[in-house]
Amino acid sequence: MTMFLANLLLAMVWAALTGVFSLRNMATGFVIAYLVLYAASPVMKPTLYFQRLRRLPVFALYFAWLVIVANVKVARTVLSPGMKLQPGIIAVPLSVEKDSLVVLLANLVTLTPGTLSMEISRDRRTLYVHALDASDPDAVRRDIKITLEQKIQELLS
Amino acid sequence: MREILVVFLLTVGVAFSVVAAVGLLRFPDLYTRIHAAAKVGTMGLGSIVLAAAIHFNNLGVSIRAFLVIAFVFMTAPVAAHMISRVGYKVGARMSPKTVIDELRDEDQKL
Repeated sequence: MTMFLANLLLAMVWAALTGVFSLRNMATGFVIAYLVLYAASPVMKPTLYFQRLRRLPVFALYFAWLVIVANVKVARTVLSPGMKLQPGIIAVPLSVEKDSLVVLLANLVTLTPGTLSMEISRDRRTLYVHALDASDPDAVRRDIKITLEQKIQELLS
Repeated sequence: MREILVVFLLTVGVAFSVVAAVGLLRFPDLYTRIHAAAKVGTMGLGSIVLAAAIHFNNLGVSIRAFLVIAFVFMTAPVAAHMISRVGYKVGARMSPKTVIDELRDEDQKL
């Protein structure tokens, strides 16, 4: 977090020095500041910041893609004349343990249409997900575990 | 070029907002309706705000647009989660089409 703030601060310094406060120039400054910090990392405290930040854009793009695909799917369900719905509540066992990761996962599950996180068991081991298409509960479980849970763990490991 | 992108994003945003509204009317029960409202709506709003950011192309607007999207994406799932959870606790009727309810078994255990 401190590294991120330092990076952001250096980006602002870059914008101030070049005198252009546009989003593009700030982004340029951010990339340059990232490289500068990365070059200086051998003399600083070890941090996971660099690896994480590198994985973030990939994950963001991947997630945006998931959201778009799933939204189109739901839109098709909504607009189809017969509306073949088979909704249901499915228990998904969790392997992430940290509370913050569980929250992140639950939010991502809700944002990918077709699934909605409803409830979590008291021991925080099971997430109850409401799915629009629950005809194959195991497929829904597999989907969440492979497309989201594994990616989150990779992102934050 | 930029205009094309803006028009495209606005069209997508409006289309998804309409789909969200139609879904709200057509879906059979509380839980499926939240699906439509919380997510397709989020996507519609996201594209419209993004279109605004690209159209105005200045730092103030871009940052505000980014914050709007970030906050909506953080809070919409929480609201959806709370509404569906409370709905379930107070026994909101589930659509007869519902094929599976693994939470009911858990409720009896608690």
